[in-house]
Amino acid sequence: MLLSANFWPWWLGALALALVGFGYFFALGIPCGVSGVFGRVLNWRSQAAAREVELKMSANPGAMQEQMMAEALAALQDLPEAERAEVEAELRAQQPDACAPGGASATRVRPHPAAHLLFLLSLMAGGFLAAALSGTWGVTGGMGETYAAFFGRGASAWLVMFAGGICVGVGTMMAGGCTMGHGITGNSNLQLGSFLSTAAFFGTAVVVSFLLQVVL
Amino acid sequence: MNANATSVAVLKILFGVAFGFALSRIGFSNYDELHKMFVFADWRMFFTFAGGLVLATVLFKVLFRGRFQVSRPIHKGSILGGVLFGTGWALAGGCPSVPLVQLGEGKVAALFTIGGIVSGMLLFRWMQNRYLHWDVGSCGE
Repeated sequence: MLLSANFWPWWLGALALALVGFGYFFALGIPCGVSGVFGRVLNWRSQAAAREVELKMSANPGAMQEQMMAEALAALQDLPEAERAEVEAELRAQQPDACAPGGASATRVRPHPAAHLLFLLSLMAGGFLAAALSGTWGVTGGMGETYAAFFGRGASAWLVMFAGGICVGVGTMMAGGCTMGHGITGNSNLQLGSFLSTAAFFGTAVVVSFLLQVVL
Repeated sequence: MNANATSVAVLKILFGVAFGFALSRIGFSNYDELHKMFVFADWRMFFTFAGGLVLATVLFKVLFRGRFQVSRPIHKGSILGGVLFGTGWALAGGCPSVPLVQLGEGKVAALFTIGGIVSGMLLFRWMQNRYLHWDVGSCGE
């Protein structure tokens, strides 16, 4: 059944979507969302730079607190030495863990954008494997019969794909998530923003699809 | 590359291949199947999505309650962004992962969808930096 040319029954697909959405978060410690991955690849330079900073901060946890403490104490230079020592002891007693490795100042280091690019390429590899193993792989410039009936073949269809792609790009970034980020990860965490966005994108897709059927 | 970066890369590849494989065999990368879902001519993929959602909710909220929490509050772009995305989904046949899967399946025209998505994302980044400055939160990574 996994590799047959027929599409998976609903329960098998549901199992796969849930295991990928949850397993990704479980294994990687970051919520799964494809538009976010896409966006981070496009923001390659700033993502790589932010990662560098996070690496430095995590290699030296507590350095920021130490620096701020030193500056705060320097501002107290009018106080007598003994009182300054008292203030310092007081401050340190109040945040005992902040400077310890893994303490309050531990920084999460984001993945390098190259890892996100690997994910996108792996989606391609997954599509290739699925098509090859089920015997449906083949190079084609079309998107199937329904698409051809709506938008024709060749240039007209490609133009619609490009225009639709722009809507997807702007829309997912504006909504802050896509079918995975909002649809599975956000909704299953019972998040209001995801409920609203999912209702909006699914509802709109239904309306547009009915319109296509009526008009074209 | 340190050990952690390597394991992140390996996990990214494993989940990417598994997700791409599943999307293809479910039929999300097939416009015929997708359209049948949107006009309710066939409920299989609708139940796939709904079932996956229910199962993921059980995993997140019951089995591992509170350990993997995300925050997605309502913001200025929630509705308009969703409407734009929904329009694009019905027209181009793909949420952001799908055209990549289609490319792997040999559907080379998906390059136009990918080009559109990249252009759209860069367009929104420009609009954000120049005019909007909305706090739209972030999808996963």
